[in-house]
Amino acid sequence: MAAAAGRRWVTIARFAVRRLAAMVAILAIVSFLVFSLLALTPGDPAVLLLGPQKATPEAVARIRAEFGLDDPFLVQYRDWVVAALHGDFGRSIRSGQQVTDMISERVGVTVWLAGYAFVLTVLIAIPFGLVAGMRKGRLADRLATASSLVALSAPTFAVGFLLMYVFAVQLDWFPAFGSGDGFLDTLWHMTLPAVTLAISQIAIVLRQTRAAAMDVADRDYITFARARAVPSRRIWQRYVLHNASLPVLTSAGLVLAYSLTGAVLVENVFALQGLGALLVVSVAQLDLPVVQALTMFTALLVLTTNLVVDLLYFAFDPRLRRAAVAA
Amino acid sequence: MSDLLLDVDGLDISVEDRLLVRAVGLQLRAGESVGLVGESGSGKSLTARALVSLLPPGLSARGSIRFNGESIDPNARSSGHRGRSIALLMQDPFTMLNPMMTAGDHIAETLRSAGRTEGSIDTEVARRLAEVGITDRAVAHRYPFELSGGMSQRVALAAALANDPALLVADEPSTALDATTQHEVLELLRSIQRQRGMGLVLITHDLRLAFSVCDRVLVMYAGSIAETASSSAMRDAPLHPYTAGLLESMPSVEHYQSDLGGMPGSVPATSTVLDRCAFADRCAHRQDSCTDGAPPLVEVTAGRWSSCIRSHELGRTLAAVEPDDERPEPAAAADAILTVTDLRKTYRAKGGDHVALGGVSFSLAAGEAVGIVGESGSGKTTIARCILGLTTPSAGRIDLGGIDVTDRSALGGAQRRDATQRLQCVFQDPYSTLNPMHTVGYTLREALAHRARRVDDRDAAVASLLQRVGLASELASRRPAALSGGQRQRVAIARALAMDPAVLLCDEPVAALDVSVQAQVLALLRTLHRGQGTSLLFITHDLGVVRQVTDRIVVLYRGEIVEQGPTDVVLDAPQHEYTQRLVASMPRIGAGEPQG
Amino acid sequence: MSQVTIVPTLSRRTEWGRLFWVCVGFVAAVAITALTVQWIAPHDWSAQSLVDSGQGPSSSHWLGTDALGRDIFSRLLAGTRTGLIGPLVIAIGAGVLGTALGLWTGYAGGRVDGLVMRSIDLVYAVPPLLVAIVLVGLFGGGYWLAVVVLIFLSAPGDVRVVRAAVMAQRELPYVAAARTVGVSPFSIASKHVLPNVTPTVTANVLLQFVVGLIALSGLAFLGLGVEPGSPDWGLMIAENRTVLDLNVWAVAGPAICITLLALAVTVIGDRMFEVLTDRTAAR
Repeated sequence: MAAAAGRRWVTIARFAVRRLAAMVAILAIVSFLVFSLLALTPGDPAVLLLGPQKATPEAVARIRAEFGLDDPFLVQYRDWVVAALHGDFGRSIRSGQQVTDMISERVGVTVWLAGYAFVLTVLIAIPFGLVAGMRKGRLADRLATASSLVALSAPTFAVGFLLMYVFAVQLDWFPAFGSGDGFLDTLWHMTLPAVTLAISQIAIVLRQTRAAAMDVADRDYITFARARAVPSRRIWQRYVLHNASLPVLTSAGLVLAYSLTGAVLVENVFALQGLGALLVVSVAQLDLPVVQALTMFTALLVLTTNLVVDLLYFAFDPRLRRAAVAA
Repeated sequence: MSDLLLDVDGLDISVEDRLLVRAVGLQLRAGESVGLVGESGSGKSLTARALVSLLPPGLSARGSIRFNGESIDPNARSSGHRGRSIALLMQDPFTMLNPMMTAGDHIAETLRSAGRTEGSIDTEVARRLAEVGITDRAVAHRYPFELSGGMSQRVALAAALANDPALLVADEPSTALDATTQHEVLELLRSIQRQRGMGLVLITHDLRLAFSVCDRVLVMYAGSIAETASSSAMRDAPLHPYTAGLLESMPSVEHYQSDLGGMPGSVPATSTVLDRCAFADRCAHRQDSCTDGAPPLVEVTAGRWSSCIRSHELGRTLAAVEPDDERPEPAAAADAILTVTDLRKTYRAKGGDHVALGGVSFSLAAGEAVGIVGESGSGKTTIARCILGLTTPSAGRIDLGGIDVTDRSALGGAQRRDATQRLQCVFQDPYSTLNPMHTVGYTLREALAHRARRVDDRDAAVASLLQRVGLASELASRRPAALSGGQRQRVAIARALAMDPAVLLCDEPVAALDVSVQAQVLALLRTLHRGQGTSLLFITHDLGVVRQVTDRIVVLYRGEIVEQGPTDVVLDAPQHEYTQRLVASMPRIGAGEPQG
Repeated sequence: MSQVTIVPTLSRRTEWGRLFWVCVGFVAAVAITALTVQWIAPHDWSAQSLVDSGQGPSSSHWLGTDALGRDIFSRLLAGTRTGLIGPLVIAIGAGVLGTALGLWTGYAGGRVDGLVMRSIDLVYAVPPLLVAIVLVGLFGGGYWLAVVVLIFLSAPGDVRVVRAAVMAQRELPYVAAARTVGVSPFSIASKHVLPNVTPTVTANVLLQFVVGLIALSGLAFLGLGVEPGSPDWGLMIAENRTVLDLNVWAVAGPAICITLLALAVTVIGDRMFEVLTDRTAAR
C-alpha cells in the first residue's frame, strides 16, 4: 500500500513537472507576442516612450540608445525577458516609477476584490447549482436558472451602478467609493464591488454546476444508492458533489483566473485603485511597460490556476490517479 | 393469505395522463422466486421500480402494494421499506456503482445505514464479498473501473444484500454481461436466494432465463399481464398466444428451425390499447370479439392465469412443438470470396500495447454463411472494422475477391470503389445506424448514387429495395425517428443491398432488438442468403442466432480462433474448452431442470 | 456505457413556448427600430441643450436628458444600431470561422487538430476581453477594430464546441455506414455530420452574439471602440454616470436595453437548442 501511494506521488509530481514545462512554453510565446506589441503599435516607439511633448530629436536619440531600440528586435526581446525574469519590467513612461512597484502598490485591492468575489461565488453557485440540477424543472431550479440568465445578460458595470444606486445612494448601507482601512472597514467597502463581480461569476459557475448535477441525477448509481437506503446527506456529498466535481472545479478555476477582466470594469465603477484601473489608464496613456507587465501577470495567473485545477482533479478522481500510475 | 411476502394488486403507472402499466397483480411467498418477463415497452422495469418506490421523476403509481402485510406507497420519495427489506439490483454493472468510491465503500455504507458498528465493518465487508464469491481481499480497495463487468455485478449484489433484505428485485441483472459471466452471476443469484430463503423478483426479457431461475413466471405485454403460471407449466404449454409467440421467436441454440417464428409488427403503447386485447393486432388467432374490450386475467386451470379469451380452446394448439428441422444442404463448395490470412491488430494503449487480434485466418466462400462467435474482448468487432477498412490491420492480409483490401488507403480509386461494391455492412445499433437528419429515401438514394452499375430511376430503385426488405415504399419519406427499431434495421439492410454486394457483413445486427422483431430480421437475412446467394459474414455473441443463420462458425477467444467448423458440429460437440463453456452457459428451453 | 432508459419517450414534441415568441418579437422590434430610427426618434439624438441638461422624465423628454441635455429616449432608440450590428457581425464571423475549423479539426483529427487546439490554448492564456482592451486601446480604437478583434477572440470558443460535437458524431455507426457505402470525407462532414451538429452551432452563434454585445458595451464603457458622442448604450452609461443622482434613467435606460437584448437572445438560443435537438434526436 505504502509503495503504491509513494509511486502515486511520484507520478503526480511527474505530471506536474510536465504541465509546468508546457506552462513555461506558453508563457514564452505569450511574452513574445506581448513584447511585439511595442513594435506593432503605430508610431515611433521612442516618441511613444517619451510622450509627444518631450520628443525632441536629442531626446529621441537618447531614448533609442537607452532602450536599445536600434538593436535587432530579437536582441531587444532577449534583454526584456532577462530583465523581466529578474522582476524588472522597466519604468512607467508617464510616472517614471518602477513598474513592479506600481503593480505591488495596486495588487492588494484587486486581490481583495477577486478573493471576496470568489468566496461568494463558491458559497452560492455550487450549492444552488447542485440543487437546481438534481431537482430539474422544479421551483428551485426555475428560480436559479432564471436569475442566472439575467445575471449573465446584465453587463457587470450596469449591475455595479444598480447596486451603487440602490445600496449606496438610496439606502446608504454601503459606501459608494474607496477601499477602506483595516479588515472590517475594507470588508465593508469591498462588499458592493465584490457582489458586483460575483454576480456574473455566480451565473457561470451555477450553470456549469447545474449541468454537471443534471448529468449525475439520471445515473444508475444514484438510484442504486437510494435503493440501498444510503442517507441523503451522503448521497449529496459522496455521489452528487463528488461526481460533479470536475466541471465545477474547471468553471470555478476559470472565473478565478479571469477575474482581472471583471475587475477592470468593477474598479472603474467604484473608483477603486486596483490593477484593472491601472491597466485602463496605462492603455489610454500608451504606457507600454505597464501594459506588458500586467498582461504577463494575467497570463501567469491564468496558467497557474489551470495547473492547480489540473492537480486538484487528481485529488478528486480516482480514475485519473490510477491512469497516472499506469502511464 | 397471510404468508404472502409481497402482494401487489391493481398497480397502475402513468406519466401525466398516459397509462404505461395497467392493473398489474403479483403475489410472492417468502423464499419464492418470480420472473417478470416482457419485451421493451412491456412495463416490467417500471413495475420493478414501483416496488422499491423509485419511479423516475414525473411518473406516478396507483394501486396497492403490501409487503409483509404492511402497505407501501410506491410514490414515496423517502425510503421506507426500500433498502432495509426490499433491495434492488440493476442492469448495467458499469453504471450502477459510484465511480468515485471503492467496492468496499459501497458495501460498507449500506452496512452503516443498516446500523452496523464501525469496528465490525471491515470483517463484515470481507464476509459479504466472500458470499458473492469474491475471496480476493484486494477487491474491496478497487474502484469500479478497475473491475470486470461480472466482478462489478457481484460487488453490486453484495452491496444490495448488505441490509439482509427479505426480497430482492433484480432488473435484468445479467443482460449487460457476456454469456459465460451471465451464467455465473445467475447461478450465484439463485444459490444465494435459496440459502437465504429470500424472495426474488427477476425482471428479464428472456423467457428461457426466467424458466431456469424462477419458480413462477409472469409474462407482460404492453403494460399488462398476459399470462402467469409456474415455469414448468408455461414452458410445456403456454396459454397465451403471445407467450407461445415469444417461445417460438427465440432462436434455439440446440437445433435448426426452418420457421424462425416472429410476430408481425411491434409492441403498441399501453395507452392506445386500453379497450381491447393489446396483442390482437399481432395475433394469428384473433377473432372479432378480441377487440371488443380489454380481456381480464382469468384463472384457466389451477394456478394458471391468462388474459386471452380463447385460452381454453387454443390450449393444445399453442403447446410448443419442437420440431427437429433438417437443415437444407448448404450450397456446393465454391471459390473463396473473402480470405483473411494471419490478421493482427495491436492498439497502442497506456501501459503497454493491447493485442486485439493475434493472427486470425479464415475464409468465406461465395454463397456461404459464416458466423464469427465471441464475447466482448474477443476481437470480433476489430475483425469487422479491418474488413470494412474502418481501421488498418497491423499485419496480415485481407483478400476480397482478388483485391487486396488490407490497407484501403493504399488502393486506387477504382479498386476502392470495387471493394465497396463487393462488401457491405449492417451495424448493431438500429438507433444510430441511420442519420437522424435524413429521410429513408435520402439514405438509400445516396447509397445508390455510389453504386458502380448506374441506376436510372432511383425512386423506383428505392421502392424496390424497401420491398425487398419487407417495408412499404411510403416509408421512403420518413425520418428514422418515425420508425421502430426493427424497421430501422431493415432500412440499414436495404442500404447495404443498394450496392448489390457479394458479401454482407452483419455486426450483431439483431442484438439490440426485441425477440419478436429479431426473428423477423433473421428471417429476412436468411432469405437474402438462400434466395439471392449473398454471402453472409455474421458476427455475434448469440449462439442461438448463429445456429439459425450460418453454415459454418469460427469461435474467437481473446483475439485468437479456438475452434472452427460446420455450425451444427461445433455447437453439438464443441471441442475446445472455451467453446464448451460457452455452449454450456446458454439458457435453454429443453434442458432446464424441474423447479422445486 | 449507455444508461438504460426505462421511461418510454414521450411522442409529444417540444414546443417553442410563449416566452420564445415574446423574445423573438422583442429582437424583431429592436431590429426594426435600428432600421427606422431616423424617422421614429422623437428628438435628434445628438442635439445638445445645456439648459435642459440632467433633467428627469417629462412629457417632452420621456426618459429625461443627459448631462449635455440630449434626449435619452431618442439616444436609446439610436443605440439599437451599434447594439445590434457589431454583435451580429461578431456572432456570424466567429460562427463561420469556428464552425469551419471545428468541423475540419473534429472530423480529420491528427496533426492539424493538435496544432489548432494548441493555438487555442494559447489564446485562452490571457482573458479575451483583456486582450481586446489592450489591442483596441493601443491601436487607437474604433468600433470595427473592436469587432474584428472580438471575432478572432470568440472563434476559438466555437471551434472547441463544434469540434467536441463533431467528434461525438464521428464515432456513430451512421458515419461508418456512409464510409462503407463510399461517401467522400467532405460529403460526410458537410452532409451527414454538419446537419447533426446544427443545434449546437445555432445555439453557439446566438451565445456569441450575447458575449459580443456584453464585450462591446464593456469596451464602450471604458471609452474604447465607438466614437465619443455616438449613441451607444455602453458609452451612455459611462457618460451619464455623473448624473446618476439627477436622472437615474440616463444610466438605467441603456443598462436595461443591453440586458433585455442579451436576455432575449439567450432565451432564443437556449430554446432553439432544445427544440432543434429534440427534432433531430435519434430516437
